[in-house]
Amino acid sequence: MNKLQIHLMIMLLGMMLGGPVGADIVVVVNEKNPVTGFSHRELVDLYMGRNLHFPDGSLVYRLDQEPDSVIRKDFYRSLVNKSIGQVSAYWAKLLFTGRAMPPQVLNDNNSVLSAVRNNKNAIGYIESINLDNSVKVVARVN
Amino acid sequence: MSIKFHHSLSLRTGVFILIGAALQTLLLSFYFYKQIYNEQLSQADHQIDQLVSTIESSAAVAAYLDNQELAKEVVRGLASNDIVLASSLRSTSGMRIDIGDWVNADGSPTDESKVRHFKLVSPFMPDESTGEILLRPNNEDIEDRANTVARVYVLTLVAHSLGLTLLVILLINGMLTRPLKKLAELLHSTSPGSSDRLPMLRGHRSDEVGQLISDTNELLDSVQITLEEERRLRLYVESVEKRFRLIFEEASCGIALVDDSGRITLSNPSFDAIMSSIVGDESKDTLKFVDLFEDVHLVGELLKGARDSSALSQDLQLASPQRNSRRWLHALFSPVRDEQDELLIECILYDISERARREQRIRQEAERDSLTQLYNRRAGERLLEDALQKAHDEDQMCALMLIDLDRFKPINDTYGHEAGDKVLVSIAERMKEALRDGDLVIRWGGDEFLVFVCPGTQIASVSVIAQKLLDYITKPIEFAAGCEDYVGASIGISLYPQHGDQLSDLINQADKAMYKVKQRGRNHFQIFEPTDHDIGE
Repeated sequence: MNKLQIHLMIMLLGMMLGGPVGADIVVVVNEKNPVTGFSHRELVDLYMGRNLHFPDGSLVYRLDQEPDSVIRKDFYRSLVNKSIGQVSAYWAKLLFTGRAMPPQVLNDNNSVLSAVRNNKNAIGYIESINLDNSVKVVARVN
Repeated sequence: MSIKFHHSLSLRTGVFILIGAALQTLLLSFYFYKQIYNEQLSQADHQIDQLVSTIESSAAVAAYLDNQELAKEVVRGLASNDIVLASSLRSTSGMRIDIGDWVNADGSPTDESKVRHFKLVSPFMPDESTGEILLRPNNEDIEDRANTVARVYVLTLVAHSLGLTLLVILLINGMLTRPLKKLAELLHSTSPGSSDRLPMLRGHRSDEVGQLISDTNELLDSVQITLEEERRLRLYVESVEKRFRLIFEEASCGIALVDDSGRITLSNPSFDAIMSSIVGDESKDTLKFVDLFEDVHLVGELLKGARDSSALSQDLQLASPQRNSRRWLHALFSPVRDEQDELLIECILYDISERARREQRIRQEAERDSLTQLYNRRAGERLLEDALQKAHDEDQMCALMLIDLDRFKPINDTYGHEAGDKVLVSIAERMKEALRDGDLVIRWGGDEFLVFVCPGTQIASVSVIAQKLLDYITKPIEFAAGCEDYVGASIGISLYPQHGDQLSDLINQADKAMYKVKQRGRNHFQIFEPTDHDIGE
């Protein structure tokens, strides 16, 4: 099997398991957070650990989804064009320094939604279909 | 001749191969050393590139995050390599981690040109520069290592070349030079023409050396055959030459070659003997051929004639200081040309003195009276005619004396013929003694003699001569031991030209005068006195 065939199979598998492909992913924060939006770069710096603070200086509480989830895969692919494995390796490399920590992993969209609703400094990403008015969209991926 | 070591093939080939190999090795070493050295340097560069590429992602992350721990880890890792003297990671946001000797031993900062820079980009934003890595390569170490590697390579090359060279030298020496040297020695000790042949060298039967040996032997074969042929021919020529020389040397005739200038260029011993009999042993080189002969002019003409035409022959008299030892030679002249095409005259001389003497003796026997050795009457008449002619030509006065012995017959009868002969011989000798060489004495008859003298113009001297003759004749003669006697003589004389110019007349007149002496009592002389009767006749 060549690479193309592998890609095709993965795509088919994704379609069967994870609903509609290419569904919009939105990055959300607490309603009370003063931030209005993030550029792509600002989002990368936040999620990859370079910038750990919101513009007002408060520490960012980052939320991630299940490592095996399609949304996480799609999110990082869109954000930094890297696979989950590459991102995990990135964090593993930094682990020993004790200075950079990966985002907090939650189970699903709803867990993320509720965590963002409850924490003013939280930031997370969910599928747009799960969006409600209790959170503020600061960026849209895809 | 032995070949000196420094000229020998083995040394020279060895030296040439060594020099060639050394030159080649030197050039190759030089080239390879440079090549390998540079290769090592670029390899070190490449190594540094690789080194950096292995930590590049970590370094990029460290610069991206300004993560000092990670940066230190990376930089330390780099600096721990031998080829890195110092390393540094700088992020665009200001983080700077330096490890290693960024300053020289003397405290001066590192030369910027020796520092290598590697740009770092964000791991997530490839277009965003996040910092750079600086490396100071350990050039000294790199160069040392490059040196070592290149040197090892060159040493290997040299050892390889040396080994190969030695092998080639040994092979050439063993396969080529040694057999050639051996061959040269063998050939050198072989004398051409002998039956010596070169032995086949072991292991070379079917190669070029073997072929050289067999070809050389073939050559020696043909040389031997040729030399033997030549030797046989030379011996033959020598024997022929010896025989020719024998003929030349031992010939009884004198043989000589005379050149254009009349000098004798070659002569055999017989000729030399003829020469030394004439001129002694004095300079034969300067002697001219013609000088050997009495008639120089004639011989010169003969030589010229032989040169112009063909062979000439002539009886010639040798020049001689003594008149009585004259030698006669029969000479043969013929022209010959030598190798230089010079015309020479070959002269062959036979000694014919003996023959000439024999001829003279025969003539003498015919002319002379065998007992007294005086001219006989027949020869005497001819001689008298000649003498008269000569006297006429020279206008001389001469006297003809007719002598008749007295008392000869009684002696002959008394003592015998032998005594008579003895008397005649003695009288003949005495008359010759009394007269000069040029005077003629002839035995005219049994005891009758005739003398012809030309004493000059004086009649008186004729009388003196006649008296002298009488005196000599009348002396006693010892014709046997203790037995002697004497004879007398009656001499009648006629004079030329007073009494006539005809021989018969003169003889007649002398006879008449003698008759008168006999009538008057013998033992006297009388000059003819013409009477009227005589004049009238």
